[in-house]
Amino acid sequence: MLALVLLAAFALFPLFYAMLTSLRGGADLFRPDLLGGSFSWSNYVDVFRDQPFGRNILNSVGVATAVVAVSLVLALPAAWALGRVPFRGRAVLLVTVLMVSMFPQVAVLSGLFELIRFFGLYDTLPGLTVANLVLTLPFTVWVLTTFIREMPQEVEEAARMDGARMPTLVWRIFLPMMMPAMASTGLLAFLVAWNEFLFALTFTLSADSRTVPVAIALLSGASTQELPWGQIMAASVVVTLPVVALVIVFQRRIVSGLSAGAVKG
Amino acid sequence: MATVELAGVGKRFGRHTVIESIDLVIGDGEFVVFVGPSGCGKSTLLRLVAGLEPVSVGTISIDGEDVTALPPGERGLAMVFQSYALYPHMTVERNIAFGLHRQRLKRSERSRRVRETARLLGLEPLLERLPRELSGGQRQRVAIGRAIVREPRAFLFDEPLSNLDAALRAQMRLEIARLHERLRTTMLYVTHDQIEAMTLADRIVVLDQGRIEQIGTPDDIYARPANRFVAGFIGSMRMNFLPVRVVDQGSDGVRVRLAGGAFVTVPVSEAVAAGAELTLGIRPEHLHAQGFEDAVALDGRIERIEAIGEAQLVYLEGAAGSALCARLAGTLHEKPGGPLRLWLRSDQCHLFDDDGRTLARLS
Repeated sequence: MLALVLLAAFALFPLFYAMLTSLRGGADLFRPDLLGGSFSWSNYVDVFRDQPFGRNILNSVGVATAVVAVSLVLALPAAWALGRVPFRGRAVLLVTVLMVSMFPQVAVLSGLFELIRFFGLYDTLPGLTVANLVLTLPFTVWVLTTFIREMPQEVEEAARMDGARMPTLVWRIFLPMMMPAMASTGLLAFLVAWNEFLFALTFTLSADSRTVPVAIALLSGASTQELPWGQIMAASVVVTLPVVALVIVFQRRIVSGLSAGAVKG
Repeated sequence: MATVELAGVGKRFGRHTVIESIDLVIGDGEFVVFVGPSGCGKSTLLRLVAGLEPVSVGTISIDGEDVTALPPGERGLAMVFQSYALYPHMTVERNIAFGLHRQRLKRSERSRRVRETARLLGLEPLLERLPRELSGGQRQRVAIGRAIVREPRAFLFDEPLSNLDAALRAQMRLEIARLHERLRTTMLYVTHDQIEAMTLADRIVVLDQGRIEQIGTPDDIYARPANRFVAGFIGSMRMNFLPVRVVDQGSDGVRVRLAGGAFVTVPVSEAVAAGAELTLGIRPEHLHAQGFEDAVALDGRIERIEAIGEAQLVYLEGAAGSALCARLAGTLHEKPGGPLRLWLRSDQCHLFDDDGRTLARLS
């Protein structure tokens, strides 16, 4: 119990500190005590006024959503084939997929940069989406494959006995049964794309096409000597809280879905 | 209501033959049980009839119509799976109604049938529940309901009770028997459980290694097994197989001598040479501790006694070539190591030749 409290404190303190700092201005920023000094929302106002931060959030939402959608749409049929259709080289292919997800980002960075420039996607959101797919597709395919393998074949056969043909089978049986897995992998893919920094830094140039992590990192104050701590913290809080909410909402879904109970006791 | 006919049906997976050419006609309203050891092909045979696996050779007809090439949903059959295979995201009501949607029935007809089925199986209070909120027995009932509601031409059961505990299994077995009496629909039932086979079947089909070993009524299979495999497989306790030598043959049968010295005249009509070595089969429940008229005595020494509550299993040494297992009702006062005389009736013995075939009996 004590360990749990310590762990929670350790994990949550940075967020708490960020929230606290984001509400302070000027010299108050450097106060050692937690509750002294004055609090105001001015950092939150400034961060949206001094740069296109709203635009950056929209960029992030757009990229992350596109990444999730494309990942799931591509991964589902791939996982289906890898999980249910026996073909030569299936095991090798699965291991290859896993290997790809182990590549350090830096290793593919320059190659990917050339590719994105070649396709004219430099400094665009679609370019960033494609780059992020490199990170999300391997694990979405892998997780969904595992899930499909564990899905009882007899449910599918029962539906076939009930007269269901392929479209009905997919829409009424498979997809609903896959929902928990899709929700959890989708959420993970969303988080990866939302937090991705290196690709976003490399493949964008203008402030208008930046995503949130890059925008926060490149926040600058009035002079080069001053780092706008208050604004940075405000921005961090703004982009963290929605994600936390998302996780909490979906987590309940995921847990309840995974204990489904189609077969046996 | 339908006859199901298999003609020369075979199934190979790659080079491995699972089902050899099987010919079988199942009559309208008949309850046929496939039994056999695991891997004998009984489940595969059912899946071939269902259409879940394509046949390698042969044809399957239902009511004279060749359905070999039809997909499972168009054969007019319903199947109950071992794992229940309910749709986990649908309520009981939608689970049951799913097949009716595929049949394009009117909404009123649909809900009438679902309600009727639910009443028949006592599922009415559970209609709004999800499968995960049901007990094993309830899930099995829903699976059966899903099959009944479609009013299929025949039911296929694939070991439907093997996931239930013993008490529930007995209860569901009774319900399935009642269901068959009530619906009078053709049923094909796969099980490895002897009791299920014996109690439910009009006819039992005993399978081994993809071949039919015997087809017959439960009585037939029990009292007149066609070969040593069926004799050993059917029966709650394994039949004793004893090496014997033919002494002579008369109008009352073949006289054989057991290794322990006793003579038994088995009522067999088939001609055998004197001196030939055969195998004699006798069920543990056909050995008795008390003598009676025309009984043959076997003397030996008690090796072991196992009490199973309502009876005792006694293993006797020295009476025949190998240890003899007898199922004796009541309590035995003899102790292991002591002598015991057991009695048998010669007409409850079976004689098998070298190939394991049962010798034809006097009629």
